[in-house]
Amino acid sequence: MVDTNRRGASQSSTGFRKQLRSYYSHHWLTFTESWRRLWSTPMSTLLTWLLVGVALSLPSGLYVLLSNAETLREDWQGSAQISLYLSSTASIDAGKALASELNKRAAIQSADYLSSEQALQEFELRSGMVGITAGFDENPIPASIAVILAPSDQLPAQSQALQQELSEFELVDEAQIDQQWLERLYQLMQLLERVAWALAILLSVAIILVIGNTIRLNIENRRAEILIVKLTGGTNAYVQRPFIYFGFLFGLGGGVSCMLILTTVYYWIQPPLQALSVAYGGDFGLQGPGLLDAVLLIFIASMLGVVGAWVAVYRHLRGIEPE
Amino acid sequence: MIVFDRVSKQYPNGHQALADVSVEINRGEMVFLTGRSGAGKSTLLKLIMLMERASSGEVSVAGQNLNTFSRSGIPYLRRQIGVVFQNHQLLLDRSVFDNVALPLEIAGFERRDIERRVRAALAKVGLENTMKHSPQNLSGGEQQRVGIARAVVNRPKILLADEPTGNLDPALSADVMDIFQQFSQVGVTTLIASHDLALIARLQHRTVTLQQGRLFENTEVSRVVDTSLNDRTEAHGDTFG
Repeated sequence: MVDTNRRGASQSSTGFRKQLRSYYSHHWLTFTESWRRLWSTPMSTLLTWLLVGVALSLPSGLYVLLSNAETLREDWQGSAQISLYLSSTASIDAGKALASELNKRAAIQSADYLSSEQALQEFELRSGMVGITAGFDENPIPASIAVILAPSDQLPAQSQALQQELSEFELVDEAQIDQQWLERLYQLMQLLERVAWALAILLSVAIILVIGNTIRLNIENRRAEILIVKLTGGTNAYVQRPFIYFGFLFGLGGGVSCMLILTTVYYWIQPPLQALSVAYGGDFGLQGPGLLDAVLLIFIASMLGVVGAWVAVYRHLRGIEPE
Repeated sequence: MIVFDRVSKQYPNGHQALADVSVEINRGEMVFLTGRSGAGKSTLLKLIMLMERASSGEVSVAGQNLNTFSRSGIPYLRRQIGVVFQNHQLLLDRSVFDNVALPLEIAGFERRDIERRVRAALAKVGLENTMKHSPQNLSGGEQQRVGIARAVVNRPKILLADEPTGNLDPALSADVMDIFQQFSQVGVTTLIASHDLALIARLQHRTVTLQQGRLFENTEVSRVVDTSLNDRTEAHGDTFG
């Protein structure tokens, strides 16, 4: 009896650091054990990963496309410009003065004056028809100011207001704006963004349910073990830990498999896209998912797995009590 | 160490498992709990483990009143109690070592301590050479001894056993009981539910009997109706203090 007491005392004097170390080492053990268990049924694990990966690849693929469109839009915003064609009576100095005045405005990124001579030269150069205008009595191309708007969220409305204002300037003959396509692209992107969100939410729920169900089966398979652990003093936290790790690993693998799917698709569509781009004389290329995107995606997938595990643990594990 | 004060237990289906049970088991005492199946032995053990709660009366274990014990505290109560089951309840997908180590892992021991203690516990039941085996490859008696090693590895204050020899032949049963006696001798309070009356009689420990949910010390049991029980207990009546 004395013996037991002495042992009991030395046991309770276990240092806090020692306990903490043991706590972490238990976490690590549980983690590696869960990993080992996953690989003891490789086929079903791979299938779960694939399932999660496929489900995730839809919204995240859409996200990649959208962020590409976003960069394109930003590029084109630079070309969201208003061309001010100046009246033929306007002098070069007056035109330059107007340009520099416009340059001072916050809403305007740049305003470049182009004299009618310069414009003619440029036209000849671009069209390859040097000297074609030699037959004209005078230069038919008016001087112009290319006004490029500063990037802004309310771009379509803003540029319309500006066009209205600028067209009333005395020196300005006409203020031309071509932005209908920009507006349409903008609206389409907003639509797609919502579609992507809807898909993301629906498929996240699906992933949570799939992982939850997989873990429910795991819990059922380990019922005897859970009972014994609870009988020998295992807390709920202790009992559920391996299953939470399971969920985490299912999500993690799903995230990685989604990245593999996206990358494969990316490289698969790259060559024809390049060909298309060349055919159009452009240089637009698709930007693949970046490293940060990948890390974020895998993190989100892992968290979905953890949530799925929690759902299963709450619904099924807590109910298993020794009787 | 274990005190039942006028404890009754009625299950939701109306079955009265225990009725007005009062008993006190002291530190280091070894007590046998007998009675026919359905007499309430398992219920009594479950109340000690807080697998069930008393309908009325008071149960206290190691000075702690279980009536007011919080749900979240139950695991910590169970760490002070080692349990041996009739069908050993070992995990067959793990080695003997891992089975015995389980309570220590749960209690958060370090790997080094775990190894030392598991070795010691297995040595006490004479199975130090089976550590790496699967429990499936052991005989029934050996499996039960592994179960005992697991129950005592965390050096519990209390050792409960529910029909620990139920599946064993007499010689193995005697071995197992011998192990329980050794633990009792070093101060572990031991309560063994068993209906192996012949064996119990030979061991000369305090015995209490449950009959239809009522508990009798075996000094009184001779006055009670169950004759088959009477015959055996009377023959050894002098040994029950």
